[in-house]
Amino acid sequence: MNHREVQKGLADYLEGDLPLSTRARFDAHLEECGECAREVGEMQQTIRLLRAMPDPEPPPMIAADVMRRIRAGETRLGPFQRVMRVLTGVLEPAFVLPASAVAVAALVVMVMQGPSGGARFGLDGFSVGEESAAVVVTPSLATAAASSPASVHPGVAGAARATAAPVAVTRPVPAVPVPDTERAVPSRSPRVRHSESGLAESWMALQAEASAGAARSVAVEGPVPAFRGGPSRPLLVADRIGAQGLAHSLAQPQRHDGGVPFSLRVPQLLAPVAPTAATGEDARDLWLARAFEDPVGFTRYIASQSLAEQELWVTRLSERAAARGLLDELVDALRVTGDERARHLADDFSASVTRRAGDVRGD
Amino acid sequence: MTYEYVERGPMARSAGAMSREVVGPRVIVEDPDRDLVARWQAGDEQAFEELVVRHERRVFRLLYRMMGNKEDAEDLTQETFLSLHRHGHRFRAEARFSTFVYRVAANAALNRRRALGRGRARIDKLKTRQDAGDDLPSSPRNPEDATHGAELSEHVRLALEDLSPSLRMPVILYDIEGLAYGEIAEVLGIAEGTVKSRIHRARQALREQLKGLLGSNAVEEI
Repeated sequence: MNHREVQKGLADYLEGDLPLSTRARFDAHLEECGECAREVGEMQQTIRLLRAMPDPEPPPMIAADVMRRIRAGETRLGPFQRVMRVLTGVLEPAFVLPASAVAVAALVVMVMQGPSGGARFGLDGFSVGEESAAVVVTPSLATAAASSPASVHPGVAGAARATAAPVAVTRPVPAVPVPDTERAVPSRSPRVRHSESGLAESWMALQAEASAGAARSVAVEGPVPAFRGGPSRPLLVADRIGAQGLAHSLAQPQRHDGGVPFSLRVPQLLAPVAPTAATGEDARDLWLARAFEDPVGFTRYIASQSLAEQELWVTRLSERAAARGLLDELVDALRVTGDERARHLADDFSASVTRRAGDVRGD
Repeated sequence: MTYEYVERGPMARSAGAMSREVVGPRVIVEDPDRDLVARWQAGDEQAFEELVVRHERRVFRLLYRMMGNKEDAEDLTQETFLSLHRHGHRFRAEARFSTFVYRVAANAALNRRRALGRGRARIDKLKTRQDAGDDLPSSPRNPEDATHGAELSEHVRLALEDLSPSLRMPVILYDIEGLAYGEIAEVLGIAEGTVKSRIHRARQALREQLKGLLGSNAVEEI
């Protein structure tokens, strides 16, 4: 065993995860090599130091304070959030047409940062940063065309400070009508997405073209907030897929004519699924088709989602598959791939249907 | 769907690094919060309060270690539970409630830090240290200075603070909070392999930071 092998196996060695034979060779090397032995010793000490950290004593009144704030109505949904809940199914996020621009375009949410303020929590329960001040929403393409400027949520605490934040509206792109399947707007709940890039972190806009052939662009009108810092820094709240594309796009942001309107190209990542309105198909059918066509790719896609979304996907797709009598076939298609994750997904699909009968929901 | 959960038990943590190899049998653990969650989701606020009481300590601990000070930790702990209350009806019993709680708390911490921005966070931290008359570098110049446990952990705390949040969170959850890799992966929404490698990188970075201390008698005695 040499230094390089030691480096490679160090993490596993420290956890005791090395196979016995490798471990023996590792130990033998440590006896001969002072440098490696010192490194291992230091790592072990570091771990011991970490584990010896004393627990801080929490302040005594947390639960009481929390309950007091709840009783004072702090967690009650504001009028805006109630609207959002209807639109996007915040409590039960509507199924997403991930690659379909119809769905992605259906909702554009911007959270603008005001100059100051306390922590705010995003619509999906995760903090969107401590300085959120206003939420600007264009709920759907159909209403976006008619509404201007977008509504500003009065119920979000701190919205008073929104006066400092520019109001942005999205310019709708030509869209095919959203099919009246499932919930009215098959969009998902807005999700805070922080990309690696500081730019994306401080910028958010998401709009995608409605159907194949339409220009893939994101257009935002109105004062465009500065990219970085500044008193009005929008945070990214977008469909995850959109956000991935967005993060990518933001690597080469394009500003037109003094920066307004701002336009982003949404990359191929958002390649649309066949238009849904034309055929009247349920979006889920398209995904089921994709699952049959490429079970492993499909699994990989699902696996890349957050747990909550995975759950949602499984629930909604299994429902549909069961309704169409395709569930067993779907489960088989996933199982025969030999791919481990696909097998797990298959299990989840079959479990989902059995489970549903006993699903206890609070809302 | 029942999530497989590796119960490491309290011993795994205190027994030191090398005994970690005994991870224990993989057992299926029912979510101990399930009944309370169901009651709360059915409208029983008392049940929610019990959930808060049950989880406040660990949420506070995690946030304290992420934020480095009690004020922010307490503030975010409250926000975490308010957020849970506001949106927690979305929680369904496929994952453990505690994982969900950690997840909301972790997001709160990561977002707060991001909002502060690295630059400002560093300046704040320096200022805090200077205000406290403690503008030492994170490892002591002289290992003999660090003779007390409290002093040692203060150095570890500062070294942890110097880690980027993406490294700090996994190592806190693993080495200090005692979560299993799989659970951390769920909490942070990253792959288990990523969790492992981040923990290792975090420990290596800490080792560098704490180099001045390592090998001192005080550490040997831990």
